Amino acid sequence: MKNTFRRLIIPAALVVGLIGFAVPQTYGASAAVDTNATITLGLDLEPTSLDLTGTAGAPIPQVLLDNVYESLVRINDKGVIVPNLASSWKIAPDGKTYTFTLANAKFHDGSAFTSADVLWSYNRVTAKDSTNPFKTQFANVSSVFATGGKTIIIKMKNRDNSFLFNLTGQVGVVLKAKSANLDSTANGTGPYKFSNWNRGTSITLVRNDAYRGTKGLAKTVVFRYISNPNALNNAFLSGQVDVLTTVQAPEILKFFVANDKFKVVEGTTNGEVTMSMNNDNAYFKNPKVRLAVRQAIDHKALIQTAWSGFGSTLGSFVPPTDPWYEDLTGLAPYNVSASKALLADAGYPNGFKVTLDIPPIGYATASSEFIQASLKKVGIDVTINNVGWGEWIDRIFTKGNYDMTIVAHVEPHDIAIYGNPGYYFHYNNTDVQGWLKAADEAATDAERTALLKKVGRQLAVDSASDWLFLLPATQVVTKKISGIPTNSLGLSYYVASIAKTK
Amino acid sequence: MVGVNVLIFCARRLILFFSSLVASSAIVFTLLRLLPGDLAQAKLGIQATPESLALLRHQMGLDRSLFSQYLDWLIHAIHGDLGISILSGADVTSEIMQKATVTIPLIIMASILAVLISIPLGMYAALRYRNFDGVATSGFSQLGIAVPIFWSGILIAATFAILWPLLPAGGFPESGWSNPGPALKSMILPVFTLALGQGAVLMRFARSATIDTLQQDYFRTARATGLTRFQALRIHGVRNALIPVISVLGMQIATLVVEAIIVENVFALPGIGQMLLQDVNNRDLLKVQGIIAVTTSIVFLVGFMVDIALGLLDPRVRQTR
Repeated sequence: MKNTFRRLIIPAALVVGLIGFAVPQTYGASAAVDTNATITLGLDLEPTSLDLTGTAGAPIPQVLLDNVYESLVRINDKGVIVPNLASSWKIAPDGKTYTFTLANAKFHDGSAFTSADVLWSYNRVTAKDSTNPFKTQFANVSSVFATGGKTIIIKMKNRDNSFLFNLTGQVGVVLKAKSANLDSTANGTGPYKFSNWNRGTSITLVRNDAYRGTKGLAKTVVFRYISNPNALNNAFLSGQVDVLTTVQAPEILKFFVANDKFKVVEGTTNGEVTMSMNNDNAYFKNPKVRLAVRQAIDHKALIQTAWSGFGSTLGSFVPPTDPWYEDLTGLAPYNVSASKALLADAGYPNGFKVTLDIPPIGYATASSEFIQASLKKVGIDVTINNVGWGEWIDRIFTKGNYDMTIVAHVEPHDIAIYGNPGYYFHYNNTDVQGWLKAADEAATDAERTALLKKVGRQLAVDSASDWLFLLPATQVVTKKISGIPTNSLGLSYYVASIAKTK
Repeated sequence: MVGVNVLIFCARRLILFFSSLVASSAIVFTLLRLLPGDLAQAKLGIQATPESLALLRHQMGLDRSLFSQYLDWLIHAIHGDLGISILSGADVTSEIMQKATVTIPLIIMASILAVLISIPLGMYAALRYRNFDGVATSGFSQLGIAVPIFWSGILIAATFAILWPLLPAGGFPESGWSNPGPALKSMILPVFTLALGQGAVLMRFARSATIDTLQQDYFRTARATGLTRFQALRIHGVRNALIPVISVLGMQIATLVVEAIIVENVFALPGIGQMLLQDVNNRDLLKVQGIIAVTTSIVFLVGFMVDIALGLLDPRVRQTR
């Protein structure tokens, strides 16, 4: 289901694929690895373009980032930022100068990777006429320049603790200088080369045997796109696909668990399924009302009903894999009488009427009726209104005109969205805004973590939103497959460690 | 002068055909722009700044008046150029042509199969409409109409690809028709699924048209000359019974195109329908516009051909325009 949230093509920022935060697992990997193997991954959403510097949308980095294209740095299996195209780097004590030493690498077309390529790629992001969707992640960059062929220096306007992390995403990708036709071809430096794109069907990658680091295990990796969940399952069951990277209907998992030809792999994600309550709304501007809503919902039962028991409860907008996580579910325990008391205290002993806008995505539709029934018990009369993504983006996300809605926010390290009072939550707490700014400019990691922990706690205390559950990453593989990225914490589906036995 | 009449009739139909095309494209163009969410947002996502969005809109010409955008599109479309998808950078015309190699055979094969099944069965059900087998046959056709195609598709795939793995569960070989064996094999279940629903509808019409014919005076006269019911139907009835069936077949083409979208989705066939569904989800408006223009042209073209065929088949149609 890591891909359930990837159904959100348009709201790309909310949506992320999956990455090898995961430790490659050793299940079933006893027999000899077939280095000539072709491995077919079954996915639901196809990229619209191959240009990850010009088009948003999670399916693009999912296939290309870290596999074909690389950045100066990347996130490793443990969530740590490690060298990639930069063999090392230094950050000045004031946090305003980054000095990267470049690795010896080659592009897939055989040309050498040089500082000129980094300059071209990064200046392209910040250029005046740039429409890079992630341009704002470079907002603090004041200049990028090279000294010699092997050093890149990036000067910042302010300290920006998110910058190195941001570099691991699309914005940091290094293209060959003067690359063209990015929509349909990809010339990267990664462990796999782009081979071809059969639009509507699949993207094929082949191993880069000239790769400077650990080479990929399978010769060919095919990303096979099938949007219909049934057809995707059928393709897996009939052997056309080796890995079911997404399970859109969790109820079918029981079948796979029972079948010893398959293995269900469970991991975690950054996807907080968030039920936002418009903080500008006449009712929801009162934190007591928001807390009442949260206490009226039995989140454990919700996960059972909506997502077959997969997924875990959340007490704030922080996934357990972030360093600033703490279990805050105790701040809003399920308690119907407490909820009623809070509503009475807020002046609504008889409840009120609101509309819950539901975008067309599994977790939202699956949760909506449970929420409607739960809130009815405390007197809140919820009307469920199904909306398309176009309307969701336009009316709810952009114009902020709604009562309640449900969407999974799956970007890594995205807590800062609560620091923007213009964001569609309309949550406005100046303490939180100050701590977030301080965290971005904090001199040490410990200081930053402490500040973000305060933010997470305050969001829970204020009931800024309700966080229904954390989306699980559930995949199914045949017994011949090993090494799939288990968790879905970043943007890429890293394929170099996936192996098939003979 | 029958020849002049036919010419005038054809010319009228031709004018109607082209004016419907322009009108429908204008309506589709406007409706698509009324949908919330625009192309620039679709491409850049929700992290994009308003400045980037404005810049991209300008680069793509989306800040021009709707009328000039439409006129631009229309002029290119008339020359066979449906533009470049802003989202994917792909040439819309060539993508449609490529996907058509899946969808057109699917629709044609399903139509032929549907006609082959439905007309003999419908006539049989009509001839035997007071008997058990006739009623049973027409009962099955009711079932065929009632069962939604996505469900019958799922059942057919589950039965013939998963339970008994005789045929592929879905997909289409990457080599396409250059390797006809596997291509044809992957078409069997989708064609069958599509033909089932269509055949059921056509059979209802073939049956009722035949029953109508059976009650005509000329049919009674034919029987009186000593022909059996079957002979009378073959010699005098079929042509008359076919008229409503052909007009329904023409109208059904539009349904077929819609149902092809569902069938392609259920069987993961990379055809026009599957592509349209994805492009609508992605808000790739220019491509959606192109695909709809092509499919409506096909529907209008078939309607046009049906009109002409009916005119040739039945002189009364020519006179009533």
